[in-house]
Amino acid sequence: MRRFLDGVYTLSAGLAALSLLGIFLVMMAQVALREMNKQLPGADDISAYLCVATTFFALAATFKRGELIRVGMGIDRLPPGVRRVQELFVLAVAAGILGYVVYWTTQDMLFSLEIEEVAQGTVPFPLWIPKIAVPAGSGLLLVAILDEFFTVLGGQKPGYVTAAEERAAAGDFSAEV
Amino acid sequence: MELLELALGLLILLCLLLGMGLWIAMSLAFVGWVAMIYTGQPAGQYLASAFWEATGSWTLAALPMFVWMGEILFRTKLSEELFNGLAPWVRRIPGRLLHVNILACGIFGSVSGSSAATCATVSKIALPELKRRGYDENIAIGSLATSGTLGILIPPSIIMVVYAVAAEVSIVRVFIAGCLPGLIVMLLFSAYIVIWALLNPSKQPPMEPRMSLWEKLKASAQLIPCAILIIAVIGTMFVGWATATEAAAFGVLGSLILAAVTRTLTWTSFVESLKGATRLSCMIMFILAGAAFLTKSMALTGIPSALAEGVAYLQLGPYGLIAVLTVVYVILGTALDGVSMIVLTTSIVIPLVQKAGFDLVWFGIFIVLLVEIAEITPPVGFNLFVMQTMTGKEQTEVAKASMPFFLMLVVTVVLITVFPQTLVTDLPDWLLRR
Repeated sequence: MRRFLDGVYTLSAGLAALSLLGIFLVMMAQVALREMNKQLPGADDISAYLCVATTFFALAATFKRGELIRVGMGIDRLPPGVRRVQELFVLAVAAGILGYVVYWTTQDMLFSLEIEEVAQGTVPFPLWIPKIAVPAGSGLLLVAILDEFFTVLGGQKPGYVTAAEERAAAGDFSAEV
Repeated sequence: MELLELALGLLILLCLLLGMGLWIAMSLAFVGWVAMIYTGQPAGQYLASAFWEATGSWTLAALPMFVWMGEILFRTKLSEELFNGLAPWVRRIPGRLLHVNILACGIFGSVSGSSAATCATVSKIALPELKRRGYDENIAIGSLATSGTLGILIPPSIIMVVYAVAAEVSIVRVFIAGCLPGLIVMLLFSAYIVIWALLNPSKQPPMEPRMSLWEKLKASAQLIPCAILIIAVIGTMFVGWATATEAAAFGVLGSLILAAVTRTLTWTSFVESLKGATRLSCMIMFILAGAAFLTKSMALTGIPSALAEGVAYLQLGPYGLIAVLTVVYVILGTALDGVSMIVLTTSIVIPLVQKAGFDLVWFGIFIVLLVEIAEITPPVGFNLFVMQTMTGKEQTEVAKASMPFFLMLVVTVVLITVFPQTLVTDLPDWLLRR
């Protein structure tokens, strides 16, 4: 189970990374085609959709590595016992929020499918397809949150805390702006 | 005053959620949801459309590109080349190699959009070099921690992209507007170092050996690839050949070529840079999504416009308002990171400054300067963290060493407030008039 879940997070993050690479390739293709007086139809829309995919498909992996930021100032000083309760509490709240997000973004996606909503640009892409990334990525984040909830419930330190501590100790600041 | 109570309640809720350690994007969405329910709007549908629209934008695609570009350059030998190429030229200026810190950060800042990355990349080379040659440690640390923040003031800048998207102004315009203030900050930092060096002759290390002009030029030839990259990214944008998003993609291409030419591009470094860029972009854009929903619900409650009227009623005057905002942002900056600082306040502050007659491009530069200050104010300042890890010193020591440079940033805020057109908005207006 552990290996399966980690595999899914990695796979999804890989999809996000490919989307980011895709934005670059679309931009380059657009510039190259323009030089030849041609146009890449729907390029702007495609890069926008890839931007959505980059964001949502990477959520679970980013969360797991402790790179989704939060304010650590107050909670870092809590004694271990209280800290555990705090982590369980915020994980529960986060799960509630993500549940809500998944429900409504799925509704939105299904609605686009139902009314056959298409993009306004040069190419009428059916919008429900790129919209899948939002509930799918949020759903996987919800799974990752529950995953961590049970880890903490089992008495372990949350994985995102361990990962963030390891990065700070190694002097890796790639996760900050 | 029902609105006032609602606004206070939401603010307290937000502080509680953030203080409890709930992730920032989720805290923003939750507060947005409470406000939306209060106004009786269909919150779920608003949320879905805000998440989709906020992340699915062609302009925003510039963000992951700039992030990736920084990730690639972070893995090259660029900072080493910068240090070696600049070092021969500062021998006669009091403070000598300390000026290289500022110049190198400024130049690295014109290819990187991140403050922590600029600080870490330049310090990695400069700190051990300065230590080896006997420079005063305090001023070296202070100047590096603070000049690292030039990464977000000198274009390209991730923080500016976030601001431009949140405030709906042109990215390129904000970028250009950052150039002069960036130069002013560099000049002020260098001026401080000169004065400090003249006042403390006992703390100066022995002179570096003299180099002939030919040797100097040879050393500086290392700067050429970086110069080409700067022209390719900033140049194409400023003369209007490329949009910000296209220029960012050019930057990625240029960085990849630069990495390949200097033999630092391997399959592993390529994949690592791509993965790192994906996670950082995801973090920022998820916050933008949460903030977009909060902004929507804020507008529906009517709090921002009521607040703008309330502030207008106080008759603070433009300078008074800016003074108050400066204090508020410095306080926020002690606890929050730059991206959150911006997205959290745009929904409330933008209507306010607009009503007071400020230009939104100018306000972007103002806010970026305050984010720079936030990066070096304890307890939460990322550049302090970077320097802490690199030197093993206490945070208070690093913060104290940065203090004089912090004051120079405040001086810059005052300068751009007194001369908003000359220093900030005239340059983009002039360049983009054609």
